[in-house]
Amino acid sequence: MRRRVEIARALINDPSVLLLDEPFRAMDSLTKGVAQEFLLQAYDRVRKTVFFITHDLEEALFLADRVVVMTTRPGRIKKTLKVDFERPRNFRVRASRRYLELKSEVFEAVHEEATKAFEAGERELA
Amino acid sequence: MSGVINLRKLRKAVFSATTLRGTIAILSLLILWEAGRRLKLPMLGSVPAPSEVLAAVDRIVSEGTFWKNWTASFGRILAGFVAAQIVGVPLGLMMAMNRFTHRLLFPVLEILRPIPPLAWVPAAIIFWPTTESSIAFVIFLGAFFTVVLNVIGGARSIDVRYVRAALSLGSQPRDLFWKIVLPATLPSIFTGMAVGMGIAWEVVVAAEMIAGKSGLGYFTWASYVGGNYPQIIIGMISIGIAGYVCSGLIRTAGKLAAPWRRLF
Amino acid sequence: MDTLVARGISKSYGSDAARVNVLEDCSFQLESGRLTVLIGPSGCGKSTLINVIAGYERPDAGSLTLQGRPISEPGSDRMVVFQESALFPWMSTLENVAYGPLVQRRRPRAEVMAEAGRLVEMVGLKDFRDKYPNQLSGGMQRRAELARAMINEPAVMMLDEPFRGLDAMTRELMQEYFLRIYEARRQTVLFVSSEIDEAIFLADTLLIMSYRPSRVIKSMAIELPRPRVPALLTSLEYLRYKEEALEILHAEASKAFAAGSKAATDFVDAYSARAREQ
Repeated sequence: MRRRVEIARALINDPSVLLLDEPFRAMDSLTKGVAQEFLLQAYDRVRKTVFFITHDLEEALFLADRVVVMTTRPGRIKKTLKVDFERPRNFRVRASRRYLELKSEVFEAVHEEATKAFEAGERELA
Repeated sequence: MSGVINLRKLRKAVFSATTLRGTIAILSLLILWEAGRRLKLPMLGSVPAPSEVLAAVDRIVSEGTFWKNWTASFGRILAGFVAAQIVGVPLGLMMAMNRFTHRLLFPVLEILRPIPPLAWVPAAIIFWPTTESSIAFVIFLGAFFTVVLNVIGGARSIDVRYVRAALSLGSQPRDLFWKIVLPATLPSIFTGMAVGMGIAWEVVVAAEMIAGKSGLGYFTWASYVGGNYPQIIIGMISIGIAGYVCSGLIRTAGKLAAPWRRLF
Repeated sequence: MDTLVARGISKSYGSDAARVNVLEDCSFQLESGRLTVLIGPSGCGKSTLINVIAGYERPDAGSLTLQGRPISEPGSDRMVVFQESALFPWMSTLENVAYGPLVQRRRPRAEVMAEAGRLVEMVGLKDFRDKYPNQLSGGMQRRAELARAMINEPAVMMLDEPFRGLDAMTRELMQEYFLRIYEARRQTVLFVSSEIDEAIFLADTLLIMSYRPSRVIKSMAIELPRPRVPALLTSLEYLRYKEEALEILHAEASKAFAAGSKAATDFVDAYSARAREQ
């Protein structure tokens, strides 16, 4: 509920770019899905430029036109994927084959970086 | 294992910028104080200088009577404080776990608690046969209410998840008490003790000033009456050190009794 | 015979105007030796249901029987592992695991401690047996709690979103880890989840709960082969199960979401209308 109000509050300022930093992070995945749809509904109507940060692969694929994968420190752009599902996005897309393909593509890229970050963290503690 | 002192860390802490700043601040204060006395500044000039105090310390420490004051105060603290724990901790636990006891006793406690322990001194003197016991009683009161409230608060704030888990695992009521409630409340018990100890020292000093014939409070007051001003400062410092040592002992005891808290 | 049977469970909180009907006429059964997953939108009373089965709360109506006998009080025949660790912070891992049998006083202490040691080793915490819970990572605490529950050989093992809050990598590892244990012991398990992938991956039976007032509205048999492996997540059957479950869950989650503030939705409508005019 709060998230919706916050999104509305951001839109009130009529920005040219909307920045969202893991806004749905704490939610369980079912509620998250519906919150994402709310965001997409708002987006579909006003077509702002949106920059959304997340660590949730499913979220990235469901929302995006483009998914940009970053490396671990020092950060660079590692990979960009085009997500070509039609809009308005339907929740059923999550059960499609194409979605799974994209998901494993993103996963490979992210997993490599996650492993590097994990090992670096271990070395810091040692 | 985790209590081993890291020498490098210790050295870094002792010789750090923060310690340096602290030391300079304290030294500046002492210099100002000494200077104020020498220059006979108003107000500041009437307080005995650090140099005078040090000279008095030298003399006092070798006298036997000075140390008797320490033992007298400590004796009263021990008696009153320990009694407060022995009565207060079980009472607090009982009140936390038993609604009937709580409803019965809590109103009485709430009425008596606001009376400052020192206000009890005249009544205590009338009621108790000896000065010694009346002072110990007042100390008891000071520590007692604190400990009871901390214990009740601690026992009541035990996360219900632990109790539920313990019940599912087949605990009897005595298991719940000895293995769940008591360990979970230990940190609160020690908090109550630490605060109670602070109150106890405040009370003993004042009670001795009013009614005592020995002890650090009496010593300080008698020094004033007798016009021996450097001794007042010595008395004050002694009381400070004594209180600090006692609190430190309790904190250490608390850490030993609840080692799982240390590891955060 | 079914291990656990629930008929018409109802539970509400509050009174009069502030009354919330969390569960209403909720019925289901747990088959013996099967892993049943309960999934539903947040706020749908999954945790309330667990509390009722575990005996921490009484239902307002309905019946609950375990192996034919009615349930009311908490007991070691129904163990729960929660989202947040309930390991006793003042006991070591070993002491925590041994706690149940020790307080039940049915076996000699030496035997209990030996078994606890074995279980601690089985969950891979041998090097941490004398550590306190706050010295263990989230995943390790989960494993310790599993051991603490399992040593009592409960008739029903319940887990309430136990892996929520763990990072994705640890979560996957914990799921596979848990499956290995389940597939070896085949206890009757009730697993609550809000992640659809996790739910299908683990389940023999998937129970879908509606939004408030909650009931079980669908029971799906998940006939994927055991042992379950991550590769299954890309199979056709898996996708079909997901599709079916998503349809229902999405509808329920939308109801949950919409039950909140309407003001924000109205605002977005108004804002976009204005944007179109410009």
